Amino acid sequence: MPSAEQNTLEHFLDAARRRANQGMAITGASIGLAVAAFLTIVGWPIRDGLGPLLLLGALAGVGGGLRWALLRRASRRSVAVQIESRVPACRNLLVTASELLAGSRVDPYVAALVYEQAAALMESLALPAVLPNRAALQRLMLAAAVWGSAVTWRATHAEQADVMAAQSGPPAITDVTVVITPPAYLKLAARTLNNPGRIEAVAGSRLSITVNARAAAVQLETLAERSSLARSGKAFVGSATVTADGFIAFEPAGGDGQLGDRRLIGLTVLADLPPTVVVRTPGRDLHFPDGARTVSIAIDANDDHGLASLKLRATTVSGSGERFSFAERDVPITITRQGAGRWTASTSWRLAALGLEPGDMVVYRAVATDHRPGATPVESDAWIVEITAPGSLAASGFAIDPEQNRYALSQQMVILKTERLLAGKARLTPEAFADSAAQIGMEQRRVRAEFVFMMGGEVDDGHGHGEEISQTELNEVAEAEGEDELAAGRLMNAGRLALIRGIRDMSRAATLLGTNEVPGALIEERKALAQIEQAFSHSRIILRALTQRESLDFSRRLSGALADAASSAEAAAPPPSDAKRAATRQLLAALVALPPVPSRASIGALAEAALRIDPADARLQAIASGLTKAADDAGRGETVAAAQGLDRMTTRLSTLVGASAPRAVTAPGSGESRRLRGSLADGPRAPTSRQP
Amino acid sequence: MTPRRWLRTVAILIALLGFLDPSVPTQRFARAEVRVVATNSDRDALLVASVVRRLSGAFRVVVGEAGMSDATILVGDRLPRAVEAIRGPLVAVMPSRSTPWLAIEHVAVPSGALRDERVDVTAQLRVVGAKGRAVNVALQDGAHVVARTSVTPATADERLAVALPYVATKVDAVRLRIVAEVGSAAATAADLLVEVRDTRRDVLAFDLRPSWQATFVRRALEADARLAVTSRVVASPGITRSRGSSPTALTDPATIARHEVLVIGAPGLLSEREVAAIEGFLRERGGRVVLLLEAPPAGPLLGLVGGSAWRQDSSGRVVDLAADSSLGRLRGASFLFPARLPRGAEVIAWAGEGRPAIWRRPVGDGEVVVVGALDSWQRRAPTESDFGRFWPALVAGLAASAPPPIEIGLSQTVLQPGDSTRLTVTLRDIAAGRGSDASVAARLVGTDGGRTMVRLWPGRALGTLEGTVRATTSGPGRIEVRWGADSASVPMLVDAAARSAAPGTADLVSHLVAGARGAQLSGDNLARLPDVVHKLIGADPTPERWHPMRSPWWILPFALLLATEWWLRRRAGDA
Repeated sequence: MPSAEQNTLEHFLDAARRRANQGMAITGASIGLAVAAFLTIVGWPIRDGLGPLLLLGALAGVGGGLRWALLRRASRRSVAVQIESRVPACRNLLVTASELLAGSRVDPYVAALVYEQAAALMESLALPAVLPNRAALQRLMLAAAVWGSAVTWRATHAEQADVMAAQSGPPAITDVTVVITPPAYLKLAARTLNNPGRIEAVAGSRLSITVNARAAAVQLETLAERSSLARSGKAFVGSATVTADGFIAFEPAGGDGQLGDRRLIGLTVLADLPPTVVVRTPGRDLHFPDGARTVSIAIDANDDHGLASLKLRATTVSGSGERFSFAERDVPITITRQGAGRWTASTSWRLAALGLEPGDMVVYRAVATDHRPGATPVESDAWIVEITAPGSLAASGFAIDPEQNRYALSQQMVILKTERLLAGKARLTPEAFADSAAQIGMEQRRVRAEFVFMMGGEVDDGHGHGEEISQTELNEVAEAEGEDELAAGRLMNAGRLALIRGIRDMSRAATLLGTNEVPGALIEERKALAQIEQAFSHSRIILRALTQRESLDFSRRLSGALADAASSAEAAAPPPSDAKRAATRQLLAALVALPPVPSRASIGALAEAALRIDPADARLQAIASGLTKAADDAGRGETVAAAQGLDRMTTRLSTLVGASAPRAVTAPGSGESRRLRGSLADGPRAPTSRQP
Repeated sequence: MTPRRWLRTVAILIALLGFLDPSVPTQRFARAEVRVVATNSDRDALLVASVVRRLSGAFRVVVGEAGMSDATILVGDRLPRAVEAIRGPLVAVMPSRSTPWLAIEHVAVPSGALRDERVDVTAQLRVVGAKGRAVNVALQDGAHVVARTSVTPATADERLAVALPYVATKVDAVRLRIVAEVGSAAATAADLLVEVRDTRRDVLAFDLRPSWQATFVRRALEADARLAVTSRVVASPGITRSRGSSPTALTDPATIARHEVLVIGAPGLLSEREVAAIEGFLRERGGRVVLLLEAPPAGPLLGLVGGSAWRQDSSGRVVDLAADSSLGRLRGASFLFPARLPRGAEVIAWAGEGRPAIWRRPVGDGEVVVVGALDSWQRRAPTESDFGRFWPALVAGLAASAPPPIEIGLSQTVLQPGDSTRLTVTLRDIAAGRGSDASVAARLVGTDGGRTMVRLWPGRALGTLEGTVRATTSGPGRIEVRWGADSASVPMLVDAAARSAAPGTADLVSHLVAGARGAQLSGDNLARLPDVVHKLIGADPTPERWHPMRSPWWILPFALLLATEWWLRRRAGDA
């Protein structure tokens, strides 16, 4: 069992050992910081960046301290020797005691005596005095000061070097980061793109641009403007709002005005489309004898980003003659949201609540909005519920001429009558069936005449006086005469083609009804209805309310006094030109004229030129993207990839230009063969007249 | 006998034989001269080297053009340039075709194009041994590829036509190169020249009365930048509406001769005098006339148009007019056509079985196009027909085929230095039978302005002259021909690196060899070549005395034997 002196001695030596280890750690940290200071000054392995440099110093200091503390860990004997060397009065007593503690075999009384005297000696020893750390701490402070100075110098030096490089080296863009923030109303998250070749963003999005460049300044250029990016630290920052297709180009400039290679990024604007809304059920006009009815209505609405509202709006038209009254109201509907952009709605609409009288009508349509600020609500096709007056035929809107016998037959009514005739064919004699078909044919021609009048055309097509209208043809001559007005944009020509087709279908239907080919006539009648609905699907009510014809420019008609007629001569017309085609061809010429290994700047300029021709043309956008990639390849020195990319884009552009170009004609045969053919064709026949 | 003695004995024997110099009688061939002619030296260089190596042991071999020699070895699958110079026995060594092999046999391209036109370059390829493998064909303009396509042969030996569109980017003679390759296994190329001109075709639209058909046809023509349309519409007697410097009447052939195409509306109103002038325009000018009929032709017009038993179909049934796809599609319901077409007529568009709606017939050097589609203008909407494309394409094609005053043809426009090309000049007026005192001169004009006279000789046909142009200096040049006040020129290019399309004439080579009673060998079976050549030369081996000991090489074994014997003696301690 160890004696009390032995325990005291052990505690003393252990404490001394810990203190010695602390001193070693402090010394190690000093050496580590000194090494870190040296590396910082040398610039290896880190040249710049305050954070990395501080980390390097911390690691070096901690590493050095740990290394010294662990590898030079003091033992009881070594610390005893260390104390003995500092306090000669110990006379080897502590060393002997430490050896005895380590297990040296001696007589017990000798060991007890040594422990006793050593314990007595310890009473007079103070560890801070015999094992001082002040010098080690001073070295640590010195090393830290040197290291701190080195870090400060390096950071300052690197920044100066950057500035120097920016002002003296060739300007270049190293990195572009674009943060796309969609318009707030879309509630979409921002996206970050690094070095994008093309940006696709919803109209109204904001682009936050950060450009890292070795340059004194960076210019931002779009189709609309050119501005400078602001310097922020080492980067250049700016922003832009996406409004139209185009591009963003960055151009670095050195301190001496030298320009670097431009960086081109294509810009495609994705429009936030308006919603579409359709009244799916009933999807047709309704005619009731009284107002005690319930109408089931189903509505579909869609939007690309999300709907904001959906309503069913109704206008009640009451009265007659010139005393019409209108009442607007919203009809309650039940909306089912199948997604942000897809809503459906339904309702069972009780008409009795409207108090409709015979002759009244209700015009209803669905109205939808999306979240675009200030956007006009989108309406569906409008449909009618009409309470028919007793004894009257179903009117087709309140623009119908009072002469109902002449005009009050809609195309739908003609179809209905034809269907009824076919259904009742078995009950009719052939003569009666033919008479009825002819009657419907006459009504069909009246409807056709209504539309021809509406378009400003002539009813009499010149096939003979007294003939009401042509059975088979629209008056093409009259139509051709109106072509000048069409070309000049003076006519309301939206849907005109569909109307012409519809009128032709009506003509064919009338002809077939006249020849008793009723099933074929029904097909033509339905085709005519489809064309007319297509032409006026969004303005059916306006069509019916249209009270004046399209205005015609009579000064352009062949009319006037005969005496005023005179010959006219005009200069030869210049060749028609197409600016976009010419620009595309010029771009192709510039591409072909490039050397086999062109510079990055020359390819980039052509990419920009492609976007300038028509920023919204997807084919040119793709070509511009391909050229930008080829330019990047050329910039990296990858000449083979650049040449291949360039060839691909040249081929694509050539195809694009060639698609709209007429084909050059190969002259058939030689002159000799031409003459031979002529002689063979002449044969024995002599020329009718030949100059001698 | 010890080894030393053996060695000594053999050495003495050699010395003795050398002293005696015995002669040995033997049968040997005389050393004949054979000429190796490569028809495609670039492609067949390895084969030529192999042939030379095989023959050089037994013959004196000369590599070069065909000429006098004891035998000619033709290497390649084409006929040599100077095939007529081949003399004596002939052996053809055909390249082995076990690996993919391809050649561009022919390139078809319009001799000229207008600036706004697209040129379709059609190359005919011969592909051997590449069944099922993709053949990539590219069209290069300078350093860049402007068109590319790929075809896959279905058989082991196939001819394929490949069309590549070219869009001219400058007004000049443009050198293009077609490159065809089968992966990295085989490749070939051919150069061609396309001349792009900045001119417009001259068209006169003359309406003898206003008509919708003529109006809309004229509008379609005016919308095409290739056509310079001059027009006159006779609205009523004494009142006309004209655009450009159009003639007041069609009675003067000289006035209308400056146009290439006449488009005549309401031709039924043409007087006899006008018909005569138009016929003169056709026969002497070689012009083109489009007649937009409104009624069956009669009187002098019928004599010009031809055809018999004219009928009109106005059933109202709308039909598509079947025409060449390059023209597009017309639609109509009312047609005028003859039951029997005149001699030499070709139908451009049918309105149904036996109903030619638009057709052409040659008249002298010219051509008249008769249009019996009366109401196609009513269906001119782009969604309904190709009305807006049909008429410009038709009229531009007619204008392109109208002969110029001087027509120049070169059999080959891209040459290597030393090559020759055949020049053909056709003088339109002379060919049409009109005499002239003006002299004709043809020159080759180089880039440096240097002019070389090209001698012309009367050709086979009236008004045709022929000559030979020899390419001497490299670079682009032009062949200029002047005749009185008229002149014309065509481009040519001389380049040592130029590659030209050439048809594979392997069949002709086979016939040539058979006609010369020669032999044909495959390139991968050359072991028999010396024997075949010997056999064809026909010289029997002659007895010849041979002195084998006169070879200086005997000194080597003699010295070796004596040195070995001496070394053995030293080793044994005897020396």
